[in-house]
Amino acid sequence: MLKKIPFIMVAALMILLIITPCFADNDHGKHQESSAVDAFLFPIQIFRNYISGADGNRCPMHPSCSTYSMEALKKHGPLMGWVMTCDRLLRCGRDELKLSPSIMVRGKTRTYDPVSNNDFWWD
Amino acid sequence: MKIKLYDTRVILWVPMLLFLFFWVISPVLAGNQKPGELTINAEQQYRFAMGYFKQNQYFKAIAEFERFIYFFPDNPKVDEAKYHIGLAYYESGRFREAIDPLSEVAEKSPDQHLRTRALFRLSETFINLADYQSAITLLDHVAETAKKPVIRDEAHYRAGWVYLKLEQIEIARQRFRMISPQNHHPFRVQELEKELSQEKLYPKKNPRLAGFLSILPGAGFAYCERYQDALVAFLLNTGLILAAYESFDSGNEALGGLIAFVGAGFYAGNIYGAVASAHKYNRDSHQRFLDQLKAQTQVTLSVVPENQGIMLGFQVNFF
Repeated sequence: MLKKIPFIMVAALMILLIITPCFADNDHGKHQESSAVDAFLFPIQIFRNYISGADGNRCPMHPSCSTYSMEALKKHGPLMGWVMTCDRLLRCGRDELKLSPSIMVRGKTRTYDPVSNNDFWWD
Repeated sequence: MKIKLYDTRVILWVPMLLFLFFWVISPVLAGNQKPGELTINAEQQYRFAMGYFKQNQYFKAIAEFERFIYFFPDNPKVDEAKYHIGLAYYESGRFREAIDPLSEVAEKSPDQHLRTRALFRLSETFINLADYQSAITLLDHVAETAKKPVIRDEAHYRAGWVYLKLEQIEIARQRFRMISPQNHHPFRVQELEKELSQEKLYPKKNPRLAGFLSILPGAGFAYCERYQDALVAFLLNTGLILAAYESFDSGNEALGGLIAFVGAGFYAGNIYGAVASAHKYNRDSHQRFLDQLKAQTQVTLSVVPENQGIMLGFQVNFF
């Protein structure tokens, strides 16, 4: 059992290292979302409101990954929304920065990658 | 009794009489206008609206054209005013609002030339709304009903570009070939044929192959030349799979289930992302082809005969 703990810890650490920067919310406290929070949106709201603010605006994409996730969940439902969220987290801040257009958001350059850029071929 | 001009009575009374005369007749000269009132006729109102339009002040132009239509509904320029309302909405990017005025002119105007202009503009409006099928339907209608060959040819030319946008190269080629021989030069049909044959040289990725390769996490991304994404997808999915296996193997089903749920999402996301990446690769490749095609085959003002074509100096500027 003791031998297997490092594997689990490494996996958990990898998840945290890769996904938490990309869940950084660039719009702290400025979203005016509906008060009716869907069950699938609730964890994201918790993250945006109570966790994301701790490390500042770090997502290099626009919309931010948390916003993207919420839009994908609202547009395509829980299953496809979850898959698209995971896809975004895999791509965030890497090759997409070179391949997608840039946009100025509040004086900072971000890479423009909306939901419509990732579902145009089947939606 | 002689009255001399320098007589005091002349100097006093003549100006007074003149003043009284003009004071009495001035309402007659002014018509029924009351003091302080301004009367604008149809021509003035139309020019006023057109002035705003030419200054690119489209919202003011729309308001003034609507005022013109309201106060002068029987004026012969009403259809032109409606057309310019549609055009003002189009130029200001409000494509949905442009549809109604342009449609009304296209359907009801007795002026054939104006109807055709409205139809072409309406087709561009639908293209900007990504409703390509409606645009093609309109262009087909023009091609079938227009009497002048140059207008039919322009409809074929425009439809060809819409099919190019839809990546239907062969249909686009057929539409370009439907342009009448005497207009091959203005529409640069030979250059189009030559450039269309180059389309196969632009690289494409197979989305199904990308999805199949993603069974091995990251391989699909690597196939789409996204090597950083491929590395992250491989490491993360491998780590999660191992972690889930170890959790279940150690009897920790709850943790294993949670990791498996997260892992399943990232595995599916890896496949979805690879397929989407292939589609994006193909879209970008096709756009480069269209940009090259536009640069090589641009139709210019100097070759389209004035007053014979609808859109003088038509350029493919809606893609």
